[in-house]
Amino acid sequence: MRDVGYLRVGDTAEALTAAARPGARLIAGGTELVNLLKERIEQPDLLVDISRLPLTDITVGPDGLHLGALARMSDVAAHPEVRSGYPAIAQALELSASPQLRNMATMGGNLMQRTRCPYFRADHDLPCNKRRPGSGCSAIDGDHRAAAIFGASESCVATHPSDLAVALVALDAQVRTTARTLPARDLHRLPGDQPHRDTVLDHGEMILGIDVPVSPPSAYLKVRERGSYEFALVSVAVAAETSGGVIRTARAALGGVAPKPWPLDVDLAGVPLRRDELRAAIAPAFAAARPLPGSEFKIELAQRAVVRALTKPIGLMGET
Amino acid sequence: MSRLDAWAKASGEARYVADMVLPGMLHVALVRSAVQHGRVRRVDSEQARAVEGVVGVFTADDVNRNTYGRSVRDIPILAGEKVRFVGERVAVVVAESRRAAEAAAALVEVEYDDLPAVTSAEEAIAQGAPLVHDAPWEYAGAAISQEDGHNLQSRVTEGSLTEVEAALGGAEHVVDRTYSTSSGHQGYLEPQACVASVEDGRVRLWVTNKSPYRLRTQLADCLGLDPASIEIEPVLLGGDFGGKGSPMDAPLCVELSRLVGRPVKLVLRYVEDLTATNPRHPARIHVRVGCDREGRLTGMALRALLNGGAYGGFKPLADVNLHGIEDCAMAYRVPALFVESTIAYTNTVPRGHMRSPGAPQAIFAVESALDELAAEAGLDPVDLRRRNLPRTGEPSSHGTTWLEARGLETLEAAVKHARTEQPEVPPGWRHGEGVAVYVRGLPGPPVTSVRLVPAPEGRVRVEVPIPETGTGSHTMVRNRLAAELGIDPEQVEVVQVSTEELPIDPGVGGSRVTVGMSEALGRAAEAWRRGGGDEPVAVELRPGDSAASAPVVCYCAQVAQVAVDPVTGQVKVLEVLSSVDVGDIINPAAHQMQIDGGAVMGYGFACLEDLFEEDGQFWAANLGEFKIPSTNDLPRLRTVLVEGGQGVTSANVKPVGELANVPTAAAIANAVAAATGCRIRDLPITSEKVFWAIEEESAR
Ligand SMILES: Cc1cc2nc3c(=O)[nH]c(=O)nc-3n(C[C@H](O)[C@H](O)[C@H](O)COP(=O)(O)OP(=O)(O)OC[C@H]3O[C@@H](n4cnc5c(N)ncnc54)[C@H](O)[C@@H]3O)c2cc1C
Ligand code: SF4
Repeated sequence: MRDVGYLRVGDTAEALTAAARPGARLIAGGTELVNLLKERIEQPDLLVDISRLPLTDITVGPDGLHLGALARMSDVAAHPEVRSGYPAIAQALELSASPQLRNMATMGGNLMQRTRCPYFRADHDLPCNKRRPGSGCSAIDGDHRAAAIFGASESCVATHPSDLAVALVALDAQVRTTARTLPARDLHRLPGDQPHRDTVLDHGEMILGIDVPVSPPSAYLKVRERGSYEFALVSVAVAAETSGGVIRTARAALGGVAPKPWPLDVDLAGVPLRRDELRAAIAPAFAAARPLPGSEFKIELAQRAVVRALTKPIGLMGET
Repeated sequence: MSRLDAWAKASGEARYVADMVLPGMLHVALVRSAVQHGRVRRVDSEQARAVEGVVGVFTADDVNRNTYGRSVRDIPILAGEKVRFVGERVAVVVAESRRAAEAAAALVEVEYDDLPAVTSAEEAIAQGAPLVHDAPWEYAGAAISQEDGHNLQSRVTEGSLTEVEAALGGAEHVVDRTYSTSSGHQGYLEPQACVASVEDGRVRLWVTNKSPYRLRTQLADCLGLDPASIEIEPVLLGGDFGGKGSPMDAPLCVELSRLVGRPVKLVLRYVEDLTATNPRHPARIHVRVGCDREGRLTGMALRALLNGGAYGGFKPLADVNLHGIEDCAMAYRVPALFVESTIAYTNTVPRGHMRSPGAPQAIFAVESALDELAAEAGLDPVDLRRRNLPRTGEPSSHGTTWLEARGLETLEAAVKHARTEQPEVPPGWRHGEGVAVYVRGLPGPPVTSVRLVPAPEGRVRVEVPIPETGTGSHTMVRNRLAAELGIDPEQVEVVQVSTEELPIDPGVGGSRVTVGMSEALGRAAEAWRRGGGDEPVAVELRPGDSAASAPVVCYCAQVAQVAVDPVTGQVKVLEVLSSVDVGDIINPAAHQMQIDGGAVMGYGFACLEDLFEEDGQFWAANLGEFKIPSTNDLPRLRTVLVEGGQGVTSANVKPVGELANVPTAAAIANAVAAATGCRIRDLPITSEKVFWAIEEESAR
């Protein structure tokens, strides 16, 4: 780690001024940024500590759920009304990282976390366009088991690791920043030829909070190799209204398959909650999948996970 | 009864090597090779030397050119003309702070001329492959000769292949399969560390090493020092699992302290522990095994090829091999047996010992193959094993007749208990049960030394030569001595003393501590009682002092229950039941911990752990990527103790440290096969391997 300046700010205006400086980076819980500093993946000159800003609210009202950017993952996951009204969010958080990390990590930091692609995170500098633009992509010809099957480009095939973001997209949330309000599904961008830019936010732009409209019953399913402290191979968030075993409305998003949470853009209204019918209904969304040889398994895995998520008792907190 | 080290560890008071501070101490950071195999053309340290706080930058030219090792002495202190793996020490910075040392190390520029490299054992032993060492047979302690072949660290064979061929020719059923296991790491939490101080020709060391007396010899041999001038100080180790037995960076630190004239300290970053120390050998194991119509084994040929990495010197045995491979068929009656274990030099990180070296790999292969043979023969896998476990009085497949052979009882107890309580299987998942058996012999005759010293208030202080590695061995010593003397354990103090204070000990390992210490403490207590307890009593067990240990073995049979999601291939291990053949137990909690910890490690080996080796490098370079089990993953663990066994020493003990981690992988693989009809022969058993295997199976 090299020398870096540190400034703790007391209000949003101060934060904005400081964050606008070139080489400045916001720090909230620090659970992600400190790792990136240690590995020299990011080398800012100034850390702007926003952790004392009054943005930790978790409010549930008639118009939905509001989460401050600094609300802790553990607090949101434990909140009774989040658990009952927005279980996909609570589950996504509870299945993330580890208890110690969740006690520190914030909503804003979670959305802004960077890929877990092993080449991006390698302790020595390897070709990686996301880390060093123009240096090439080691994953395409290397280990790309975790690679994207949607939305990748020739310069980067990495996936976005946030579980929370996937739930937010399925729940049609909005992200409020110091500059705008935008749908959660538009926050992250596809790599194209600029894979070093993960989100559409500008330098110095700060997330203030997240607004989630009142949600139908929802659930989050995460398929991973280890029961804790582990990212998703594939995950799926669903929010659906059903009656008599038939879907009335449903929205779903996938994690672990794309550089951003991948909305499952198929109309599921009228589809019975049965495996074969569901498989047929979601299949068109997978026609666009472009896996690499090592990530091909994700196409099947993801479809099966969607079916599983929709057919398990939705809206209940529970085992996944 | 509480553990002696519990409070200090829980409260954070425990001090490890990394916490050591000596007056005037400097800090060390390593410059490691970026290439697999290359000639070092130039080391440019100009920029590094200019960093504030840097005291010196050193290369092979500055340090002793002798090589070192635990058996074969093939490891250079710093790579000289050539580097042999990514991560090898090429240069080293000594500075006033760790920060300055690391900053400077990053500025050292090394230029290499790349040489062709071999990164797998298969490649390495092929005709015409590039040579990792030009003449490996010339190293002191080499276990091979020039005629043995290409890039070999070691090759051990046992039995006659001709006999096995004949036996298999006449067998009713034969399976011929190849199994493989990946590179894993011991996963201790405390990084490797060393503090060295050389002053007026006297060397003092605080080092994460569990065999201080052997380390002293290894250092003396390499550096040409009088062993009496080297003192290895007592330390507390934060986990070992086999990874802390080698000299690692100690010779380098001694040289550096000599060069700079001040104490030096090196603490590895965990990424260095994972990628550049002495992890477990990956293996490819070919098994051919046959049985007659009744399911009696007729012959087995096992050939293991292991990747030993760039140096063999981190392995302690004279044959530079892994005895777990050689003992692969010991559990059964196998009339014709042939075993060949080959360890190849490659341009990858040197491999060392990890809890029951070689056995997890070999037993995964053998116990999987037995299930495959049972299927071939139309036999129940438990039944096949029943028919082949030797009874007391019968010689084992390796020729020895044991005092008792309790394999059958151990297996029956496992199966009976496993089946009394079936685990709950999630709806839609498939359930499978798998069994595996392992037997382990005793370590050789005990060699160690202890001293009892009267302490104030009628207490007894027992001085031991071994560090507490985290297993609770010092607590075992306390309890054992208290029992021998018939006093309250609170009256016993246990301290590790430096290598100056006691004469001999081979170190922690090979499941020998409880056995060796029990013997020594038994003798010490006797002398203590005779002397009335007023005078210090020293006991020394030298090789040859104790009768060769009785042919005692301990069996462990495990039953794994798994649930497999046929949709995603996900495997949930619901339960691992361990049935263990035991004598008397000194500390039940510590004994149970060895069994539970073993099963957890076995589970990690089976389902998760993989350093993702590619082109001679590990991609899993932190504990997030190298997946050891988390508490959430753990199966339910159950234990059945098959009591009444005949152990050794007056304490009637059997070793337990390297038992329950061994059969787990095969038990799980067998359970997955029972659940899905798909056989995974390549560890770890990941969801996608299972997923594709199920796909292939249903496509057929
Ligand atoms: C071992 C491990 C396992 C993990 N497993 C998971 C997992 O399974 N699933 C998962 O979803 N996550 C996982 N994580 C990631 C974890 O959730 C993130 O580290 C955490 O959410 C980041 O939050 P933070 O507040 O600590 O962010 P910080 O580290 O403080 O910041 C991270 C980034 O966000 C930026 N940032 C922070 N706040 C704001 C804001 N308000 N506006 C704009 N930018 C901001 C920072 O500038 C920085 O670039 C894991 C992390 C670790 C270390
Ligand atoms: S996939 Fe993206 S993050 Fe990974 S190596 Fe390629 S460019 Fe880098």
